[in-house]
Amino acid sequence: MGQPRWLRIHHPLSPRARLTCGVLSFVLPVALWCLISYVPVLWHPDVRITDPGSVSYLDVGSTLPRAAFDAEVAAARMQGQPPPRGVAANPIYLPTPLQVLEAFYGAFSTPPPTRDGPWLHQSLWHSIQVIFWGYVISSVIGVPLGILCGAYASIARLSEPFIEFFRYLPAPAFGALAVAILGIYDGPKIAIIVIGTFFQQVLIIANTTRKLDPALLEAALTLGTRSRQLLTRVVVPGVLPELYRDQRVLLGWAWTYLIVAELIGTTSGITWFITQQARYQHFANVYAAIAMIGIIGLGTDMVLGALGRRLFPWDRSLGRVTG
Amino acid sequence: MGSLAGQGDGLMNELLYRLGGSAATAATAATAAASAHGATVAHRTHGQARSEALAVPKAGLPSYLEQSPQVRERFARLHAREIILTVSHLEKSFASTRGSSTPALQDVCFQTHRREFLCVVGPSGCGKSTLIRILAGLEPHSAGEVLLGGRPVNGPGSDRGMVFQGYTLFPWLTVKKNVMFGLEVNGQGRLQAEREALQWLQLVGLEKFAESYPHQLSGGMKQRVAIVRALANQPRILLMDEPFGALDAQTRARMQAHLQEIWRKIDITIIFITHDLDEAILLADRVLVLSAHPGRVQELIEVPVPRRRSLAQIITPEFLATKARLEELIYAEQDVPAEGRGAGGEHADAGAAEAYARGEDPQAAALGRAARALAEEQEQYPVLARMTDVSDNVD
Repeated sequence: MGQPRWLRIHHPLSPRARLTCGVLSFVLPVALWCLISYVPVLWHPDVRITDPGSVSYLDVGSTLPRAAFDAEVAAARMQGQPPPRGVAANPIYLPTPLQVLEAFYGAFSTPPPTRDGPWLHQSLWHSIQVIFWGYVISSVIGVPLGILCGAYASIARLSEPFIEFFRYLPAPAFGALAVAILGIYDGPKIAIIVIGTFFQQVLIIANTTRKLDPALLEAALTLGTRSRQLLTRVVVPGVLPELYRDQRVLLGWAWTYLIVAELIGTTSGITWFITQQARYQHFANVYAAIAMIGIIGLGTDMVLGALGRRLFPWDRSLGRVTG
Repeated sequence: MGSLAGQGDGLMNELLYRLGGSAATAATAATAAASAHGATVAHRTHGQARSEALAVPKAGLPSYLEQSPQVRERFARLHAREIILTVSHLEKSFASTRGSSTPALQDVCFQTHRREFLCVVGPSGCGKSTLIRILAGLEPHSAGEVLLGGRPVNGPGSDRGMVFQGYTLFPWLTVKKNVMFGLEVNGQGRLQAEREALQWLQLVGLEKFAESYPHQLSGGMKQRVAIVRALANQPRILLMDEPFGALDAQTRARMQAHLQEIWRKIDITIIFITHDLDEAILLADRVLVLSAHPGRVQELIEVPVPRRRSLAQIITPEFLATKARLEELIYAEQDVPAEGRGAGGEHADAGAAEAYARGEDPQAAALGRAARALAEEQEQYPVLARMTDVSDNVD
């Protein structure tokens, strides 16, 4: 006794405690952000001008570092001119939560700056399509190859050394090559995501396949299963829940290559939106866009997790790992 | 073959001769008459020699070679049945790191008859599991021959069913589909397979769990499913590798009763590996005792305990005599007595044998009470039409 329950090693949480902790994991960082944003004594290294006074280059609403501001005030006082006035502020790259929340709504309702430019939801949809095709193309080849590598030592030995070599090459390094081969539109972007995902995928799935309990294979053999049936009737169904979990992790992997991929050729999708907004110093919009990627990613994973529990009712460990 | 067995047993025989005494001749005559096959003959003769030395083997217990007329008759019937499996001069060695090889099994010879229940016991490291994996075809052997129904065993096949200690049910299939698995991969139609699977589940009283997944079952239930999954293919022989080793004592007792019931009802030969001597004596017609490093056949013992058996019999003289003999064979050769002995209540049981012999037997009485209580709470078995042609009685 003495030790509270939640401090015991490997001790499972009650459903309520699980929910509470899950909510807190989001609330705590946001609360910290709120504190820094709204409590003036915390941080606030800059000054936002409310009255430029006699200083000609200052505008209302612009910010400058406190040291520079203090120097300007001192200089104005010396010359007997009205000094500038301002309030403590955070740097422009750290908008408040409220600003980001507004930007969230505003980003969708603001028309594109140019007439033929895409709306935000169109940009997002474009990004999702790029991810989808990259992931699907990678999986169509990577999953079967991974399973074969895991099942047959010969295939593993034939392909894995090369894949091990290739997976260390950063996918963006192939950007210029991809543009040369596939043009400037979606082709090279999808290619980068495929390159970034595929090689990891083969190795991860091969490993998962190798972890299948060999006793299950032996049991199937003593029941008269022949070699080819063994793959379809034991290996594949046996690793399916684990494989599904791997695929969830790999989907997250694919998303992390998105921004780099979209910078290749013509910038497009959510990346185009982010770079545009950053150029105008609309950092609230940038944060909103980044948060959207996170929300889409986490949302997809939660849906896939719930789907997995339905698809594999016999698998009791599913759902504990999130990708 | 005879010479090898002799080598292994020489020291033991010496020792027994020195103990001296008159012969239990009736028993040896009976067993000698009953034996008719190569491997058994060699060991029987050794047993004979030993029994002559052993009039009063262990503080008043009868010799394990003494058989009542019913038991003798049962063994005569057993030997009259055809031979299912012949293992002759089987060798297995594993390649070790420096290019040399370590022998695991050496010159193993024995035969089993149709519908025989053969248990294999031996100290740890005697290659019991290797032996059964070779019989199953999961591991190649280095030399010698395994003949099943006259044909050599090469690789696994549906003519030999196997039950593993770790259940090995397919977790993604329901109980029913697990049982259907073997039928389907051997080309049976889905409907036929399903009908048969349900019948088999009925045999072990699990038809209510047909649609459950293995993880929803208890250990004992899982192992029952594993047994009928192996039996569904109608193999000639069922190989069981310490199948009840992972179960708690009560469940194990119930499973032993259950397995005997299944074995009685259908035409199946069972080879059963165990490290639990009580279990071996309770289940087996004959017990094959292996020695360790390398694994060799020490003796093939005919268990003189009458059938049908129950846990209440573990304090009968025949049972205790057999057990004493097994302990002698298995523990005598071990340099470090602690090894292999720790598990189970084997010390206590050996004590019980002596206490029984002295006539004052608090332990044996306690054991008896426990056994009776267990027998009373044993579940009712489903009454079934026999599923395969069983023309003669194994009891």
